[in-house]
Amino acid sequence: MAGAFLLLGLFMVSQAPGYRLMSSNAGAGPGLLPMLAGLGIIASSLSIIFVSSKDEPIALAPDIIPDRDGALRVAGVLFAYAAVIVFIQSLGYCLTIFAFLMATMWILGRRDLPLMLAVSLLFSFGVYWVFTKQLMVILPQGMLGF
Amino acid sequence: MEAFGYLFQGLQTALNPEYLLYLFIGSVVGTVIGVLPGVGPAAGTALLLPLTFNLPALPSIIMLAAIYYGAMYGGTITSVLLNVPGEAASVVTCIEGHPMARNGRAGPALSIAAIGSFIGGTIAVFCLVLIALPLSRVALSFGPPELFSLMVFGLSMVIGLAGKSIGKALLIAFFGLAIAVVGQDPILANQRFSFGRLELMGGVDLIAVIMGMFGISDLLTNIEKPAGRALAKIKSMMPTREDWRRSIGAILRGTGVGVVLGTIPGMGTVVPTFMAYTLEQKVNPKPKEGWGNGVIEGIASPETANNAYSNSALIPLFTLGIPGSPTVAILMAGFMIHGLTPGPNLFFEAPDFVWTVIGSLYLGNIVLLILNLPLIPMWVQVLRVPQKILFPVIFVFIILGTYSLNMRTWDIGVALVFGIIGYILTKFDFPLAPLALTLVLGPMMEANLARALMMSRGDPMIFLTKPISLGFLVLAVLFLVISWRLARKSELAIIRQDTQ
Repeated sequence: MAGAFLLLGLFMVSQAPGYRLMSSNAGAGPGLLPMLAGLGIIASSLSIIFVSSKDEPIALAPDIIPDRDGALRVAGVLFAYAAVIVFIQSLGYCLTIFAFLMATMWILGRRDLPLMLAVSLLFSFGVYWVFTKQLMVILPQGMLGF
Repeated sequence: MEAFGYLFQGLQTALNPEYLLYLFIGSVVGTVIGVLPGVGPAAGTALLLPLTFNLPALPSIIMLAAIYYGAMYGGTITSVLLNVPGEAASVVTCIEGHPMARNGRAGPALSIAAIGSFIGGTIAVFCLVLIALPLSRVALSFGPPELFSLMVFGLSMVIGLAGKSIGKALLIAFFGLAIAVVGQDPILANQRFSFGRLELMGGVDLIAVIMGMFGISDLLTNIEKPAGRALAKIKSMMPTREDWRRSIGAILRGTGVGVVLGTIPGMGTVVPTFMAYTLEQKVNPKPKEGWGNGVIEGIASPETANNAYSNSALIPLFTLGIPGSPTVAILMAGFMIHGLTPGPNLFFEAPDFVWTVIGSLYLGNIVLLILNLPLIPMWVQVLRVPQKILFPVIFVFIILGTYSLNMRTWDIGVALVFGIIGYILTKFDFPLAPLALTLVLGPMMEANLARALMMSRGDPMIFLTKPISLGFLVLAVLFLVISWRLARKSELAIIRQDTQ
């Protein structure tokens, strides 16, 4: 983890001078804080790497890697969420969220279809109505118009 | 006395039926958020922030503040009945609260927590009234160097208290700062790290990041575990005479701890509750039940400290513009969305606004007491909603909340990316609280840094030559060094234990 942050810090430090570190009229230039943040990330990443290589490492928590079922649930939900991002503009809020809710409830182990349908309809079409008609918040309509 | 006059006016305005309605809605919604396992107060408040976009500033802030302290209280119910802390501050409540529930005494535990919270919250609001005005006057004399150093001090507190490793907390704080610098810089409006993408030119949306970091990552952590939980039953709500006798002192001590620690910028919610619990153990080392077996003082004091802290933590926000916890940082974001910058100027530029909000805090404590004593059975019903239904619905609200920030799919993606990052960081024991604070404070820190350097014509020694600024910086370094040494000591103790 610290290694990934170290790369981020190095990237920021390499880019910051391009934004100017100091400016003649404003004191600090736009690159000063990115430079400080980058240096801070590098220093703290290195300290973590140094401490963990010097000491006997503390054992990582046993639940750091979930069991197979847990990992599948997490991956499934993330996949469904990513699908929402891909389809929400083209399919619209109602259809995408309806499908998302059915899929995630199934992934989490729910199997009673009538309840799943009721919850999905309520939080897709029902929420769409509340948001667009009552709260005046525009939600993606998609090609079908809802 | 001047302050109490303002408070009286604020209370009169806050008693407007419209504001009372928003206060009530906020308290109910906040309590629901606190009750629901898997949504902490930070994510919950962020989730509901978009609902206030179309409201005027005053009802918005009244509602957001009510959501904040409602959520802080709601966690108690989950801790006592389920042994699942809704947020870090409720961990202590599980230690004594759930054993009480297992012994059939969930009702008295929740009643004492509600009454203690009311007393603590009320006293904290009065302290806010007493301290706010004089402290704001002092803070008004602060220039950019002092303000920058004060923010550094506030951050050092959050970093020092955030977790076992100061290095990890520092890293996360700088990571938050790295996210905060994306987009336009606040002084010259130059683009940074936007890679030509229109969506990044205004910066990464703070609320989307927080919903991801605190909402999605929490949900993923909960989804990973198998569902199923044993809900303790409530027989009677009434505490016994003995419960009252033992709790009164604990409530007063908890109030003191919460109020005092709340005034320190960046203290966070965990320390006051743990400190209150430890204090009770010192006052009564050998209670008849034995610590960890349902000692009522172990609920009364931390719960009181938690609510007293929640109200008192608004003192540094209102007077100095420094949020003390991620949830208060979101509340601050709510202020800024409505064009208000919390800080000493607020008391003089918008006194009606700020005193009405403070008045509403007092009324909010009364509403919470009403909600949490007779309506406990209703909250228990909320807990009965299966997680397999609840979690997908919460995801939908995260999608709705992030989309309605700027009406774009991009923010739904930002929440997902930071949700995954938060989930991984939590696995590796990285604290997330410093990130929320640097995200909110980043632009203000940068503006004050630039102004201070403009004053000194680029000489950074200005931070060391101004006595108040130097004082804050010395305190920040001292606090970090002490925290680092303490953390190192406990880390070495763990290693020794593992080796043995």
